[in-house]
Amino acid sequence: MYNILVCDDERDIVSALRIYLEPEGYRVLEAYNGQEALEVLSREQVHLVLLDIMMPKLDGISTIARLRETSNVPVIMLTAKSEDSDKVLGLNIGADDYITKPFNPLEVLARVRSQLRRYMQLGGSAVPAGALTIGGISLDDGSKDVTVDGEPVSLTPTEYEILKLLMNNPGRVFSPREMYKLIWKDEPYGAESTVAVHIRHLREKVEINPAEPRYIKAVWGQGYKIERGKQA
Amino acid sequence: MKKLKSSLAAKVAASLLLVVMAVGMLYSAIGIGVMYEKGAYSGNGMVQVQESYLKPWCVSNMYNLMERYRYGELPENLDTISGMGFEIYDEKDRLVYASQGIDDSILKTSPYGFNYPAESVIVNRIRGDINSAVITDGSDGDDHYFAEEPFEKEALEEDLPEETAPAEASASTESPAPTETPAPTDSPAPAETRAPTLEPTAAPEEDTVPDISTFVKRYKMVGYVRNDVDSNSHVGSMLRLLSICYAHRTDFIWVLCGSALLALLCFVFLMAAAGHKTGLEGVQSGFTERAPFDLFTLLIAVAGAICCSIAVEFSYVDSIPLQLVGYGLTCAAGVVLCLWWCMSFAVRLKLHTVLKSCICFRVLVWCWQMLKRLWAFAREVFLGMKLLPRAALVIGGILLVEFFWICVCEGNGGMLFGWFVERLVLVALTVYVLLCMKRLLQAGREISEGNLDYHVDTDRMRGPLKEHGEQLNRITEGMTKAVNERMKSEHFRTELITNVSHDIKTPLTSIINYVDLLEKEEIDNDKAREYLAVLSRQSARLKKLIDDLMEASKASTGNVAVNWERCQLNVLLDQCAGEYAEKLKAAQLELVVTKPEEPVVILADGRHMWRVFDNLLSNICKYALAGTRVYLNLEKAEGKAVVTFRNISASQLNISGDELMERFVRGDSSRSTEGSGLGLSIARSLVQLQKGQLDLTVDGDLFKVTLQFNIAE
Repeated sequence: MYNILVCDDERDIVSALRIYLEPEGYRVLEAYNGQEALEVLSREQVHLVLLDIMMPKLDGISTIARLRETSNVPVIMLTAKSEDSDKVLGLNIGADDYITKPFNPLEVLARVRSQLRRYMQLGGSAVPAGALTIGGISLDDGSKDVTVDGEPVSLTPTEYEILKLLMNNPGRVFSPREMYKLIWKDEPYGAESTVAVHIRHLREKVEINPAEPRYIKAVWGQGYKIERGKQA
Repeated sequence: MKKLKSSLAAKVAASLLLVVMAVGMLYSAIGIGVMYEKGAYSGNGMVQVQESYLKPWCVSNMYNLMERYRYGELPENLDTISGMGFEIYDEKDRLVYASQGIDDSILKTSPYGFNYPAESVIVNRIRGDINSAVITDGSDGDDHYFAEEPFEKEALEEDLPEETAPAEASASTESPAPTETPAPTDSPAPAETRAPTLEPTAAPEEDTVPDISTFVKRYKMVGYVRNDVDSNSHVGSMLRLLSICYAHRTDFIWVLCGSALLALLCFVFLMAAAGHKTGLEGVQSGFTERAPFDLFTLLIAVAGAICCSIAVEFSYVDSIPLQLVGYGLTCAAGVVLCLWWCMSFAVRLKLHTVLKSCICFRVLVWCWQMLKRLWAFAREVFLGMKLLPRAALVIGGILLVEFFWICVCEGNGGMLFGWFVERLVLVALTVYVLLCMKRLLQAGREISEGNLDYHVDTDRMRGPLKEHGEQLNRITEGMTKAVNERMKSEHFRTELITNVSHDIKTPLTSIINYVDLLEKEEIDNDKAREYLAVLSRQSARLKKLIDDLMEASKASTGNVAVNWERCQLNVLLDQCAGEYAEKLKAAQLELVVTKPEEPVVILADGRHMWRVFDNLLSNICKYALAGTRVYLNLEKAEGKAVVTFRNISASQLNISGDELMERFVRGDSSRSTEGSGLGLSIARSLVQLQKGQLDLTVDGDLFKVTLQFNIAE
């Protein structure tokens, strides 16, 4: 049983999250500002923190900075600020993920699960030999198994090839034409959008929120790449 | 002291004292001067002093006598005045006249026991009877004539050594009284007796010698001081005076010093007292001070000059006492004048009106003011002129001056060089003006290109150029201000929208969450389920609206960072087509993509480009008529990359593309319940942000969006 600290100055949101999280078997601790959150953290064993950014007394960014001094507990930001700069700031200061308000409850659950798995299970477990790992995704070329945050994912051969290509070259941008040539071993002749379709399918299987992918990213006007994950 | 200063009586007394002292100084100074010159202070005895004084005096006196003789005065008359005896010889060394009572014994003996060698004086006598010589005979013409003849003079000088005869002069100071009376009484008698003897000798000579020398007779005069000198005669009084002077020679010095000191004191007092009046405080200007200072000075100077000339006149007077009296009077007058001037000067000095009361100064000041006024007037007229006539005036003036200059030159090299120098200066001026104009031109160009930070440096500009430069600067300032204010207000608006959006999002989160929770509850009531579905849909829409609103406000005010990178439109098209493949299929639309083989590259921010395409394609999915084709076209045209989206609208489009573009206006109010209608607006703002252009055309049911971007090199 994991302890999850939910911190938001809006009590209704905290209650709602409690309603969503408790049926999943998590114990929910509540806090309504940054200081309370830090107090709870010092008092109880917490496995994950859901933290609002805009709070009275001590805001989320400062809270993350303070708790990161002593703990490496996963932190997911809940923020009404959708601007990129806010997200980047939060991630840089030590958050592991973010969810923008208004959020989809299922997405919250998925991300919580993902972070907990990574933190509790995969943290020290041995990765099979020959397996490629980027963030929560691991690809075993021997068994052709792909897992995301420990959950097995079933991919079509083309999707598998695409993922393998990207994971073999993390950070590199492949243009659709290039990918087509490498995977289909053929000239595209007007079929480049096929790649995009497959990428989309792949994202839907691998990513929690395909509209805001964590791993498989489109570099618009250039091609696709896989992010070098933080814990890779 | 104050009382004394303002007392008129004291001043008058001081002035009188000063005048007296000045006269005393004059006399003592004369005495000292004479005594010093004659060596009385360096040990010479009285006799030596008298002798050394008498010698030149006698010579000059003899010249006077001879002169009078020349003009026909009877020698006998001369005798009595001078107190001297003399003999006149003609050119043949014949004695013409001898003073009365002259014989060898008189000549040889002297009461002083020395021979007085009076210089012989030779004078030309004009032709004519000595006795009957009339003034008209010695007319100016004759006089002039022989005086100018050089050979006469030579002859005269040649004569001198041989003719000089020692004459014994005897002057007796001891026995003035007895000799005094006989001399004048005796003199007429022998003169009459001797006179006839002169005639025969003089007359024949005139007739026999016809040359120039016949017009002129040369006479020699030998003079001596009589031993029985009359104390009333010139010589007698001279000697008496000298003896008095000699006796008081040391007293003179004391008198001089004393009177000088006293005079100085008086002078100082008078200067200090000048301007003070009884019963009145401070310095008062008197009657004199009403006159202009320079005029007053001039008058005083003229009066002084008159005094001087009177004094000079007195110097011609025979009698020494009379001379002295004359000198004294003129000196007194001079001192009074001087004092007057000094006091007036002192008063003016105290009142600081020396310059101001001068006519010259006033005239100068007036002239200066007139000049200044004239200059100001000319300047005003010049500056008041329009630029064109002003320039014409200047250029015309220069040309006129040059023209006259060259006319005057007449090929004179130096003056032509002057013209050349003037030309050089003009060229320099022209270059300066051109440089200024270049700067202004540059400024105009910069400003027209929208560089509002450009500032014209007008420090070294003059006149209209400077004015123009400053106006340009003011334009940029005004525009910068306006732009800044606009930016500020837009920024403020964006900020407001952003903050409000954030605030709305928090309650919205709760709404969405609890609607979701409600939906999960097992509700049997169908109506309730239906209502919940509406709530769910509308809250989702609200969420999208808020996001769009924020994005639209940011994009339209340019509050979005643009990360410029090379973007291949071909690839982007493929990616978008891939992303939307399923959605289009779901909307029963067929996408037809045409694009050139070679890559079309533009500089843009990929994420913004995706947002544009995303919005446009999602619009197409929503509003295109099912079962139709959607054309997505990429081509290069005139250095631009052009992307066109074409689709058939599902409903009738009864408004123009422009109206469609307006925020919150939809093609048709009934078209959709999803989306905010801001999609197109956001797309256009983002395209403009990336220096592109988005156009919308509605042609019947054909809905066409055209994007244009500059192709990157």
